[in-house]
Amino acid sequence: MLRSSRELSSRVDINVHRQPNRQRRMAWWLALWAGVGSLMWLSLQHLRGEHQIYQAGDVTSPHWLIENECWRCHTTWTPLQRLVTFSDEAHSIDNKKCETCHRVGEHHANQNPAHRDISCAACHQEHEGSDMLTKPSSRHCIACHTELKTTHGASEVFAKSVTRFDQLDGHPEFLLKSLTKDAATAPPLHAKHGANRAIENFQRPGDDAPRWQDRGRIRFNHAAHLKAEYDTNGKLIHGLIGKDRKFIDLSHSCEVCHEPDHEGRFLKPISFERHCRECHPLLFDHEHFPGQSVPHETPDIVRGFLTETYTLKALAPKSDSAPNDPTLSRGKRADEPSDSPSRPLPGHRDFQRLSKDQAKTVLDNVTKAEQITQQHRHSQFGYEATGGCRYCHEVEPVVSKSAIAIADWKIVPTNVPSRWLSHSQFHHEPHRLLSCTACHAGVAQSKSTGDVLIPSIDVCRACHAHRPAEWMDGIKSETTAKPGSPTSPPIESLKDLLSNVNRGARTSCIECHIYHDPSKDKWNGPFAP
Amino acid sequence: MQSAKCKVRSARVKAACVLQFALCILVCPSPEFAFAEDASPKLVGSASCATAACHGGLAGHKFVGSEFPIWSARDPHSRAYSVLRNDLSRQMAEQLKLPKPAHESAVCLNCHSPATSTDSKLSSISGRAPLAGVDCEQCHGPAERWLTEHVRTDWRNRSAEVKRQRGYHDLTDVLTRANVCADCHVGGPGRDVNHDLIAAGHPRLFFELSTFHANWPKHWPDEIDAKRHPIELGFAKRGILTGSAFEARLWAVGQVVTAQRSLELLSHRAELAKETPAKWPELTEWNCFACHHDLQSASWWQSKDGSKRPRVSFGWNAWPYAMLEPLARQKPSPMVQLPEAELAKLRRHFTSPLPLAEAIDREANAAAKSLRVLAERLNHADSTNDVLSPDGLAKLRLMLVKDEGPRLVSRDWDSATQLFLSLNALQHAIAAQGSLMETDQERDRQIQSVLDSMNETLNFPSGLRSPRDFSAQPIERLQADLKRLQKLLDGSPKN
Repeated sequence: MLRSSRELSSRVDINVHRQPNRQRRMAWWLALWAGVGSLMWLSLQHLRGEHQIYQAGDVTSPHWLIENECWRCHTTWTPLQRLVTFSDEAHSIDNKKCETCHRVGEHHANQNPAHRDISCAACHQEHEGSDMLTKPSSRHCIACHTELKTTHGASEVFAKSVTRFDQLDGHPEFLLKSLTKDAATAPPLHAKHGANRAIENFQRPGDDAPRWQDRGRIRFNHAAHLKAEYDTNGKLIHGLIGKDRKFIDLSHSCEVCHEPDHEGRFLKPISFERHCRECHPLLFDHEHFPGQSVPHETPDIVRGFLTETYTLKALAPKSDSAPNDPTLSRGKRADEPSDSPSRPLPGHRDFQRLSKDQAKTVLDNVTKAEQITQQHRHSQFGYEATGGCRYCHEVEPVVSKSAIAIADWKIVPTNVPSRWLSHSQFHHEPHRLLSCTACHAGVAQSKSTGDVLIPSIDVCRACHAHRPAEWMDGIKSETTAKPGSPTSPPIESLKDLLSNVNRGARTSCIECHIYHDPSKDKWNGPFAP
Repeated sequence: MQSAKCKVRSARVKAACVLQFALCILVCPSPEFAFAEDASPKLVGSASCATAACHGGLAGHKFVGSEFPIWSARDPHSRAYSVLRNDLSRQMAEQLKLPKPAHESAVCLNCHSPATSTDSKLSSISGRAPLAGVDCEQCHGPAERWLTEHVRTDWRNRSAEVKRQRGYHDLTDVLTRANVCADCHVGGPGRDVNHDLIAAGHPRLFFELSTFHANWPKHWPDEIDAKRHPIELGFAKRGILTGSAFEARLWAVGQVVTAQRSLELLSHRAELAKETPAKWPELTEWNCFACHHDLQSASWWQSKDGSKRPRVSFGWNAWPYAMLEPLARQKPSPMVQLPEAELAKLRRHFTSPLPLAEAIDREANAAAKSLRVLAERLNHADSTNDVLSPDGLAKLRLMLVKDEGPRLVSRDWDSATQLFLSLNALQHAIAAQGSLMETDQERDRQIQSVLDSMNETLNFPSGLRSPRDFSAQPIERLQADLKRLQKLLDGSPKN
């Protein structure tokens, strides 16, 4: 059967393009209904008060108050801009909106001026879950600190490259530790950023070369206070001599003196009254005032205390003499006749002045007591009175301004810092499962105030590392448990604990470092003054 | 001729005499207006009093006629000037940066020797400097216009008003006496013992008339005072038995006058503040021991009795005003009405460290005015059936011990001491009023022992000039004493 072209062409409807395409129409209708349906669903949800469908995620809990008031933070709408330009730089929020409430200090006094314009949202990302806003990722820091360029060119103050905490070359050693290590090559102190004033490069008698040491002007011997020896039966045969003249073991009782603050974050400064006085009372006159001690105060107050004590002693009525003559107390002369009944006027009864002889005796007593207070030793009063001021402090004479004949003296400021790594954030409380000596190694052997007992970065890396178990061996040798004594959790158990987990403790920068200068934070709100 | 002239002259003289006499009668109808008030009377000087025939004799009488020697030998007022030459005064003058030494500076002399002060409005009649110190005329008044008159027998019959106009201070009147004492012992314009003076070394002024009066070596017998304020108790076997309300009146008037004069001084200080704002606030208007205590709570000189904080209240100086409220609360007391609103406002003002001088001036003036009236009323109060009567006093004492005591004692040292002085004064006042019944000597002895114990607690520690640590322990002791006293008083037939 022949098929002519006409025949063939007749098989195709010439108006095919005018006929509707069912598939396309169906698709079109489906799309239309899908769109309308979605809109209707959205409207329904909107009417029901459900807004989550538009939102990227929950805001952080402090911002819950303003969760439904987007305009409080958002000034523009930039998702489209981000999509088109493939840029993370565009944020639909203005820094001024953040600064309405949060006025934070700058990163550093001489930071790159361009950084001042960085959007807050670049690091602090909202709608990411509960606490992500305050925990920016380390990548924001590393972006610059991998190869740090400063405005003044290369700097010795800052580490040039910081990449990872748990890599040997990823993060430099703690500054204080490096200062104590490389004494010979250490740069001048002022060039070191964050170096605490408490340490200086100085030479002690017997030292070959100058070394970095704690320059605290106080004498303290950790080893003497932590000594403890046990015999084979577990009986304490040598240790610190307590008040009742028995040995006590303080070798694992650091918290007796180093008390944590209310947060458990840092350790409180040592207090003489709480920690020292019991064993080191500042006796001044054991013969006349047994057991009484002077206040642990400035020399002025000590002198005031002593003067008052001896004055009151001089004025106290002698037990064998007659009681105070009442006529003397009324501003009358003793030889006057008392012709009218007198009435007491409280407060005025027996104000007496010292006679010249009494004043001289008081002065002599005060002078003597001050000398004893300054420098008495065991031999004077027995073990109950170990040491006067000079036992721990440096006492210096002062040129006297007063007319009295006692030499003035002063106590050299102790220069004990309340914190050592002042630029870091550290919290002792989460580290409580470790013994103190696990980190502060060498305490039991330290005999000098000059020893710096701040741990090195390696100690931190034992746990704060991707694979913590690898660092364990490094600190194992530091802890030596004594038989019969309460021991801290041995490092082995910690090692066991950590060997079963894949990841160690957190290593992100903000665990220790603060970006904004907290000293420049300002409260900025409607209740601000 | 001559005789005619003489006659004319004598006639003229006569006429002049008649005219003068007539003028005298016309112009001076009564001796009350003999002296104009404008010129203040002048001082004659104590030497004039001290002649042997008048007040300077060493007479056989105990007092009369030998007032001057008694004053000179025993009265501390006679030594008021000489203390200005001692070491402390020299030191004070240095610290106050006075341009002249203390014995030449008006700020000291105005009280210590008013007659020699350059500020004094009183001038000596002879032009010579009178005796230094607080002498006769400082209390009895400048004698220019009454010296000759007061030796005459009719002086006693002159009215108080006439004597006042002559410049004589009638010290038999308790109110006048209180005011004369308060001139220096409380102070006033030009006689202001302010914080500067105290800081330099001047003792603080705390005046309680009845106690000061009792302790003062007097140059007249106490009986004279007692006799001037008699109370008729009733008939006894020996006739009419009388007691004396002098002690009671002295105490009550003294309390009110001290408060009134303190308020006037406060008003004066507030007024000065308008011209020299640097002088305001005047720190003596606050409780001394609110600031004068150690700032550390448990330091070596405060922790002995285990109390953590010193018991001090930051507020208005309680000394002059502590007894006003108890006096006002005494019932029935139709005459005792306090300016309570003003006092409350003032008390509130002084809870602020920088009170408004203008408001204080206003309130203090108003309060002082009311207290002046109150003092007058107390001064002339009937001593048989009001607050000064034996019943009234006994009730007042019981109320002081029972209701007011515990509050006053725990407030501060000043209030506690005022309470003690008042209880002591009332004890003497009640004894002086006497009783028809047999007095219970054992009970009086016990009351005295409680008062002695309170005095012991309130005394400054030996060698100190402050209560030092007036805190929990002394307050507890005082409360216990008050309870003992209450028990004694409750059990007495009088109450």
